[in-house]
Amino acid sequence: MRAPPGGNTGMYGRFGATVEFQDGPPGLFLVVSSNGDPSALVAAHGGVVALRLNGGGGVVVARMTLTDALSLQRERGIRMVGGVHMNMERYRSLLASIGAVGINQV
Amino acid sequence: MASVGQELLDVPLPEMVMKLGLGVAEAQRALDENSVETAKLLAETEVPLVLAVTQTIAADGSVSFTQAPPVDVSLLQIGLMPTFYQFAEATIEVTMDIKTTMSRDTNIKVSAKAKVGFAMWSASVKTDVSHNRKFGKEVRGTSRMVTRMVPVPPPARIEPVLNVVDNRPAPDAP
Repeated sequence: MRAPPGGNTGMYGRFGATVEFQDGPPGLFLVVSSNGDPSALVAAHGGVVALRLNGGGGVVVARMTLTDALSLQRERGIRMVGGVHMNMERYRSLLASIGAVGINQV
Repeated sequence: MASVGQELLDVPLPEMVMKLGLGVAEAQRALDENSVETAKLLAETEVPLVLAVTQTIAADGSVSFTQAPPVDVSLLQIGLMPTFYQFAEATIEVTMDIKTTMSRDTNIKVSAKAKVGFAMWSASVKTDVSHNRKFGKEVRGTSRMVTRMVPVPPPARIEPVLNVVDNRPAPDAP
C-alpha cells in the first residue's frame, strides 16, 4: 500500500483522512498528450511506453499501474489517460477476415 | 447526560452511507465517461496495417521482401478495446471509544464566633457545606471507508461486430 506519487492525499489530509491506494498489476493505458511526446512523463510516473500510435508522438500506449495512471492524468499537458486491453480473439478474427494469417509458401 | 447507547445512535451512519453511495456513483460515472472517451479515440485513431508481406528467395539465394500497400484500420477494429472499471465493494467501518467520568467535590467550612461581656455571652457556629459534581466525557471516533474497483468486460454492444460478405464466385471444380 502506498500513496500515489504527488497524489491527492493533500485535499483529504486537511480533513484528517488518510487516503491509500492499493496497487494492482500493471495494465495498458492509452495516453494522449496535448503538447508533444508524453514518453518522459510516462517514464516519470513509473510507466513504460509499449506502442507509439502516430508520427507526432502525442498518442502512446503505456504499460503502468492504475495508481500511476491516475497520477499521470493530473499532469499538465496530459489530455487523457484511459485503460485499454488487447482482445486477441478480435485481432485474430480481423486477420482471418482479410486472409492475413499464416505463412503461404509457394 | 447522553447515554453511551444514545452516543452510538447519534453517529450519522445513514448520512455516511448515503454520501458513500453518491461518491461511488459519481466516481463510476466519471470512470464510464473516461472509458467511452477512450473508445471514441480508439475508433478515430487509424494505423496503417500491412496485410501481406512476400518474401522472395531468388535462385542465387538472395532474399528480398515486398509488402502489400498498407490499409488504414482503426485501433478498435484491430482489437484494442477500452477497459471498463466497476466498484465491486464499498465498506464503511465506524469505531467509537466513549469514556465517561464523574467526580464529586465536597467542601465544608466551619466557623465559630463567641462574645462575652457584662454577664452576657453569645456564641454562633456557622457551617457551609457545598457539593460539586463534575461530569466528564471523552468521545473518540474513527471511520474507515474502503472501496474495491475491478476491471470488467466492456458492454457487449461496444465492440462492432465484424461481418464478412464474400461475393466471389466459387472456383470451378476440376
